Amino acid sequence: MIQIYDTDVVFHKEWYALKNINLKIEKGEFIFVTGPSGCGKTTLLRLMYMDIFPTKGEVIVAGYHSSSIKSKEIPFLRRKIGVIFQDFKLLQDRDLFDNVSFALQVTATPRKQIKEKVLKTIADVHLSHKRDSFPYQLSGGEQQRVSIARALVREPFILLADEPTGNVDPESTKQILELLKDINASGTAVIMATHEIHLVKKSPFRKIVVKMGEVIEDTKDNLKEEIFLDNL
Amino acid sequence: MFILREAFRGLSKNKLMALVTFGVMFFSLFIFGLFLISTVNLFLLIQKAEEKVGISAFLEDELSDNEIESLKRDISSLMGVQEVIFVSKSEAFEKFREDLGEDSDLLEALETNPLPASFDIKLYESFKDPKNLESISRKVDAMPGVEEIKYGEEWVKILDRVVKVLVGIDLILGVIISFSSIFVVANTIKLTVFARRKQIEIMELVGATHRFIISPFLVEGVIEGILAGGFASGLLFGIYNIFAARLGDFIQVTRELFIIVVVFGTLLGYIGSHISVKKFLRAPIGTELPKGK
Repeated sequence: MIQIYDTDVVFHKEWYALKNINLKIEKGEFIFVTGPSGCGKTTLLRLMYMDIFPTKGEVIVAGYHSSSIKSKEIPFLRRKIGVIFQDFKLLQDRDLFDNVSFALQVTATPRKQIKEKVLKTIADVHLSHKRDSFPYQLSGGEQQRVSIARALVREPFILLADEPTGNVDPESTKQILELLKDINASGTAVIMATHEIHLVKKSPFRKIVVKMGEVIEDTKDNLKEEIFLDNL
Repeated sequence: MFILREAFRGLSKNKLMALVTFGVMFFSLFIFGLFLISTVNLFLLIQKAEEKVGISAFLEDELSDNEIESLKRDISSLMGVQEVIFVSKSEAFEKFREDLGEDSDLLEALETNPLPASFDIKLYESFKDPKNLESISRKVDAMPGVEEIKYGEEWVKILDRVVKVLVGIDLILGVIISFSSIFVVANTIKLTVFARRKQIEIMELVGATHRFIISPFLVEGVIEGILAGGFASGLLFGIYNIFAARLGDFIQVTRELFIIVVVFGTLLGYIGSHISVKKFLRAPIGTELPKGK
C-alpha cells in the first residue's frame, strides 16, 4: 500500500531531514510515528501524500511512484488519502457542514451525494448536533473532529494524522485517539505522528521511532530486503 | 456552479480587498484608456498629414489632348500610384485666384495665363515614404512632356522622421502601460489570494485539481476587470463629453475604444488572477520548504 525504500530527503543541499528510510505499510494498519520535535515525522508524512519528493530513493503510494508521478496526478492520489494537522486547517467563515462538504465540492461530487455523505460522516465523529456551528464556536477537540470528518468524507484508504492531539486538552486527546481507533477498526489505515511518547507507550500498535531523520526503531520487522523483493 | 458560487462568495466576503483590486484596476484602465485615445488621435493626425503627401507633375505648354491622356495612362501604370488628377491651365489659374483671395485683383494685370497644366499624383499609403516618393518622381520626371516635378522633398523627410519617432514612443509607452498594469494588478490580487491561502491549501490537500482551484479566482478577476473597465470607460466618456465642445474635431473618440478598455480590463483580471494564484499553488502545503523535485 505504501512503500518507502532507500529514501533520503535533503533540504538546502546538505541538511538531511530524512536519511535512508525503508518502510512498508500494509492495508488497515495503525501506526504511531514518534520522536522528538524536528526529528522528521512531518517530513515522513509529507512524503506519503507527495507534498515533497525524495532526494534519493522511491516512495510508492497506492500505485503512484514518486519518481514518475505527474503533477496532474497528485490531486487524484490525494483523494485517496486523508490528512489532518495539529492546527486543524478549517475555514473560519464556513460552518461545520460546509467545512466537511468542501472536500467533496472541490472534487465536483454531485450535490445529492454530498449531503448524504457529509451527514453520515458528521454522525461518525459525533458532531451531528453541531452541524451549523462555526469553527470559532467549537472547542479544540471538536475542531479536530471536524477536520477528521473532512478527511474521512472522501473514504480514504489511509488517514495521515500529523500531531492531531497537539492542540487539545487530555480529555479531547482521549476522544480523538478513540475515534482514530474506530476509524482503523472500520478498515482505514491510520498513521499518527506524535511526540507525546506517553500516548504510544502502552499501545499495542506498531511504532516507528524517528530520530535525527533516521528510523531507529520499528516494532514491525520490515526489512529493506523485503521491500526490495516486493518491487522486483 | 461551485466555481461561480465561490467567486461571488470571495467577492462578498472580502469586500475591502475586492474594492482595492477594483480601484487599482480602474486606475490602470483609465490610464490605458487615455493612452488609447492619444494613440488613435496621433494616428489620425499622422494620416491627415500624410494625405497631403503627393506629387505634382507640371506639364509643357504645347501638349495635345492625346499626349496628355497617354501621359496620364503612363503615370497611372506606375507601381504605388493610386490616382492621377489632371489640372488644366485654367483650373490652375482659378485655384491660384482663390488662394490669393482679396489680392486676386492683381491677376487682372496679366495678359496671358502663366501657370502650367499639371497632374496631381496621389499615392498609396505604403508608398508615401521618402524613398518611394523620390523613385516615382524620378520616373515621372523622365517622361516626355513633363517639365518639372514637386513633392515637398524636405517636408516629406521631416514628416517621415517625426512619424517614426512618435510611433516608436507610442509603442514603448503602450508596452510599459500594459505590462505595468498587469504587474500592479497581479500584485494587488496576490494580496487577496494571500488572505485566502488557507482555502487554497485545503483545496490542494483534499485533491482539487489546479484548474478547479484557480477557476473561482479567475472568475472573480474577470468580474472585477469588466466592472473596472466599464467604470473607466464611463469616466473617459464623461470627460470627453465635457470637453468635446471645446475640442471640436481635434480629439476623436469612438465606441470601439471603450470596448477595448473593457476587453483589456477582462484580460487584466484574468491574467492578474492567474499569475497570483499560480504562485500560491507552487508552495508546498504547510511549510515553505523547497521540494526535492
